[in-house]
Amino acid sequence: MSGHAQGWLLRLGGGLHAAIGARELLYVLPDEPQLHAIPLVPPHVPGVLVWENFIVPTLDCQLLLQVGDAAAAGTSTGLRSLRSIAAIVAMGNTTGAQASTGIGALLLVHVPEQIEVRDEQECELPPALHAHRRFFSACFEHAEMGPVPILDLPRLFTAPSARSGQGRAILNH
Amino acid sequence: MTELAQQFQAAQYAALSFGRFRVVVPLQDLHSLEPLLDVDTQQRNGHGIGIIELRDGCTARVYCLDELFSLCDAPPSDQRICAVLDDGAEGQLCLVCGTVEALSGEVLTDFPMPACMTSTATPLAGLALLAGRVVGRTSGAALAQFVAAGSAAAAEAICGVEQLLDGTLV
Repeated sequence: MSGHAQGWLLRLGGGLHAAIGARELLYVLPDEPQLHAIPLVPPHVPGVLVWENFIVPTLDCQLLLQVGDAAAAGTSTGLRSLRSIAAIVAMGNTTGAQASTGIGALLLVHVPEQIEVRDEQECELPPALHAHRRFFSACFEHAEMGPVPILDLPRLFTAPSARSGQGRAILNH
Repeated sequence: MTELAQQFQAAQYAALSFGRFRVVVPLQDLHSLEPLLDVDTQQRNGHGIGIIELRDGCTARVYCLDELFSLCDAPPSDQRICAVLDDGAEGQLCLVCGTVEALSGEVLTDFPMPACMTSTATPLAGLALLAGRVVGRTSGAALAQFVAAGSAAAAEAICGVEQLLDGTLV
């Protein structure tokens, strides 16, 4: 970080909050956007939503990071989730020649809040999130929230499916 | 030629519904449609619900999938049509669906499967927008491979339980 930067504070549910850069937030769908469930995807991907004629994968970060009362708060379809706001975010992957961009959505419990972050606020990632440090690019100390991790959106949206390698349908008796 | 036959001739894809979820397959993968009543459920084999005799004299195993793509022992109440699909290996796979629709003139906008949703377990090659609705893109061969893997896994599980009950599995 150099000087200060603008960003957005996201409340992801279960007491989990995180931040993204100012330009990474494209749009907010505030009123329980319709999620289309897709079979055989991980529980933290409750479905996709349609935005501006794009199919947008939607992540439930509380389930992905297994923080708070994740099991009670979400279902495999996510349709009964309390996280009823979706933030449409831009994922910019600018690594090397294979640069690509994409969009995704994050489920939230509250509309995003604009924040300003200064260099001197940088801090260590909370121990509870160490196991998932690959999903965060940095962390800063927020006056009210305490440590707030900054999401690495390209990594978050390319997290491999937990089902990879199973290769088998489930028998439903 | 009937109106339905003309519609199918003009179409490139067929949409099959499993509960609220629909998939599209290349129309050339769709061999025929048969009524559920023609399924011989006395000849249950593996985890199919029975077999069906096709017009060319061949038989195909009949399987049911729900909207989560779990194999079912019985067809969900809203699924009554058997879609006979080429399995990519000169055989046929019969899946019980709710509806089968030929897509003629509809715009199908393809999207790759998002990276966070890709899995070797899925028969879906991608997603698509069809009249504002999200559908999965797959093929007869992919569905046949998926059902065969699921059926084999279930057979292994049942074999394990039987061995456990017999005391042969330590």
